[in-house]
Amino acid sequence: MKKRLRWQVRGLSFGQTNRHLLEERIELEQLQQRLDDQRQEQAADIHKLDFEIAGLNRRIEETTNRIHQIQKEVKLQETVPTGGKGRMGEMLVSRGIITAAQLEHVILSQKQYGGRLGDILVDMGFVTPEQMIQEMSDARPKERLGEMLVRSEYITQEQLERALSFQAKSGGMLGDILLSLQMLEPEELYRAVATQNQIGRLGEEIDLNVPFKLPEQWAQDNGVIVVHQYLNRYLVAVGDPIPVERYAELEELLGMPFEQVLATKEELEHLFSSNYGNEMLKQSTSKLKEQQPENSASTTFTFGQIMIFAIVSLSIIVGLIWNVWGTILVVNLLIQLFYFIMTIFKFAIIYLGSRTNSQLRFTPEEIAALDEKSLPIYTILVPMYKEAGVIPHLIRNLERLDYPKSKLDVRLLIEDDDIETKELLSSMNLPAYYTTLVVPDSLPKTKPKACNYGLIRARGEYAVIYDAEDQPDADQLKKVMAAFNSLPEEYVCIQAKLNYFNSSQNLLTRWFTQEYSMWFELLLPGIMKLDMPVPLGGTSNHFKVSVLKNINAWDPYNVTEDADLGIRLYKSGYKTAIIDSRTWEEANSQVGNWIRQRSRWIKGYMQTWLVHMRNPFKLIKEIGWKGFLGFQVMILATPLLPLLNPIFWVLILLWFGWEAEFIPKLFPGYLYYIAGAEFYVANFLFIFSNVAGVYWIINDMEEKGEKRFSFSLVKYGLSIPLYWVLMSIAAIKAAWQLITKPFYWEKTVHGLTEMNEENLLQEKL
Amino acid sequence: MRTNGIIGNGTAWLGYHAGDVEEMMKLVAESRQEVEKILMEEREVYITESASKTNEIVELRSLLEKVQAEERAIIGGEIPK
Repeated sequence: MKKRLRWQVRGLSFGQTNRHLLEERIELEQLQQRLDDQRQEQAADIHKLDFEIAGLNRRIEETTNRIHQIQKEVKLQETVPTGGKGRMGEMLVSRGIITAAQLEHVILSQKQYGGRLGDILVDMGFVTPEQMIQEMSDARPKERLGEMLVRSEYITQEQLERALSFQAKSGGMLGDILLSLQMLEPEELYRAVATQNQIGRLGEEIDLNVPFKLPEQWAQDNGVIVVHQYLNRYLVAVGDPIPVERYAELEELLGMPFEQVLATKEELEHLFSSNYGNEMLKQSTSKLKEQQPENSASTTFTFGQIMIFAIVSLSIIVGLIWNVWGTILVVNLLIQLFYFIMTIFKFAIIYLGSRTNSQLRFTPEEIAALDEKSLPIYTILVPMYKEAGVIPHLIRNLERLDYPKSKLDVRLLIEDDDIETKELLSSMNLPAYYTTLVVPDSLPKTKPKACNYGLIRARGEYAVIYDAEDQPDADQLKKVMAAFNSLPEEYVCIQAKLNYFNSSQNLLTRWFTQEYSMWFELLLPGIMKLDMPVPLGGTSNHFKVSVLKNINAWDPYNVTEDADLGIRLYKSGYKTAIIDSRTWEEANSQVGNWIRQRSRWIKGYMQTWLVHMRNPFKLIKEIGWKGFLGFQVMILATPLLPLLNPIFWVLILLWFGWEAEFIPKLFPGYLYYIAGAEFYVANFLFIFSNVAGVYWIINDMEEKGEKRFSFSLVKYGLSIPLYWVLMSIAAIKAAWQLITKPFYWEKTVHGLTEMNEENLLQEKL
Repeated sequence: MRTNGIIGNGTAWLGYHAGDVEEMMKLVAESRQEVEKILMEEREVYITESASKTNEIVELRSLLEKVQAEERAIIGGEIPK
């Protein structure tokens, strides 16, 4: 008793003690954080000092070796190891200012890290800055790039004139034009530009063991990267000479003077990937998740959603126990109403979409009248995975694009483990406006992650995504630019229409073509006309890059990142337009492959619906009632209807086959009429809309004098209910995957079609 | 540690036992002291190391200047090869 009393008197409340302990623990954590920071800072400082010591030791050793060489009167190699670079050095040797051994050292250092010969000579103490200034005083004044290239015999006068005539027509930088015409190699051009600007070129054996890294964002914004540290300055690689007004800022960041060396676009990409690869990868996978977790599909079901599903399921179970037929009847009524509303609304959208002014149209004359000089740099992102076989077709299709090549920034995004594609691309001598980017291996391994990675260093003001097997209409980029120019500012995305070049391959590709014709020729234009959120198609969506970056681009956790992006753009107050330009893709021709692709699409729509319906009231506030209804028609009905269909197909079979007795109980009078109307009218409308889509595209193409499809395609519309069965199989698979592996990307195999068919079509055109 | 265990003859729910609290606070305080100690020690080690390295750099710089001057002198013919 005494013991107990003593405890109660001295006892401390849980709350008070926990608070006290929490404060103490926070302080402890802060101290530990300080310790970590201190360790990091100190390690960096010590590394810097070690680096300098190692550099000094190396140079002392080198100088001592040279003295020994001279003292032993070893005959030094008098030949200069490199051609053009050695001119200044040779002159200095011949005047007896430096020895050939010193020059050899300088050239080796220049080869390794890059930079100007004079600076390295001064840095190594072989000449004084005053001597150097004196030797440079008779240097050639800055001359024009074209003249310099002709004088240095990199290009001929005729080539220069041809490039200048291109420049007069399309604008852009002379260097980019020369590269796009493949008149010289990037290394040669950049060496000349470096000489013109009196800066050095990047060395060949850069070792990125530099104790200092610029903040990633600054480095990305300015295209500057630290590549080496000399005793008194940093060597920074740049794509373009740094503007003078940035000098002070950079010096302040570095805490030391700097010397800039010019790197080609490819070298700079490589440097950024090596130096900031982890940061770029993190940005590609987590930026949206960190900055807008409410819009990220990284969480599939929120706690609230699980609770709502649990409550609804529980209510149905309780209802079934309480009154089986009554409950089934209510559920059936709700489903029939859903079917009814969706059918009416979808058909209304399709009807509106069938008006010719529902999509943006431009005549060939209007496109020809575009001033090419006003065209901006356009980034083309091509994510691909194990599609080496399609690459030659891809290159050919991109080359066909009618857009000044010097204003293209084509970024081929390949995965780290795709050895075959990597090897093929490195063996191809692609023009300089192609950049191959290897996306480091990490999870989630999805197309949107690759696109985000590719977008970080995109040079274009506008960007588009194409799949590797895509064949965009040649004038698509120009049409899009004409569209952006004619639309108000809030239009930041333009979707081109997709369709298939291998429609006649088999029954599946015919069905698929009918579906796509309805979706892209009628449904999406109708959505645009009604000003509702547009679920974007997987490719050929063109964006204003600044806005795309602002809204954190694609969600790497969403397997239909395109549809999700369309919704997020609309939520942010931006609009999407549909343009009358097509991209021809390869329709899946194998059932298994088709189901894999479709299950991914349906799973993605489910993810998108779950993400944006986390707070339905907020969603209504953001996109309005009309947008909300459109969202349900496009994003909810697409996966839900194929899931519900099999139930009613079984009921129909049971009724017509065996006249099952329980069926009339499910469809009393009023419900029977609704369901009957859906069975006869809605099924007709859905088949009709597919047929209408085909008629529409054939007619539209005929008006333009083109022919891709024949009217014989129409009859396959009658068998399309079999296609809906496949869709239901895919939907069931998708629902299962949503729970078991929501972020898993079901890869679609491309290149199953004989590309000969595509060639034949091209010839036919 | 929570006092829902047996204390004396009964079960107590009112709070932590004062002895336990003392023990917990002691543990936290000890960890803190330990981190503070490491912080101080590492700082001292760093200061010493960085001072020694800075000195080494100064010495190496002067040595480099010396050997470079010697090399220049040899090239200039001031010192016979």
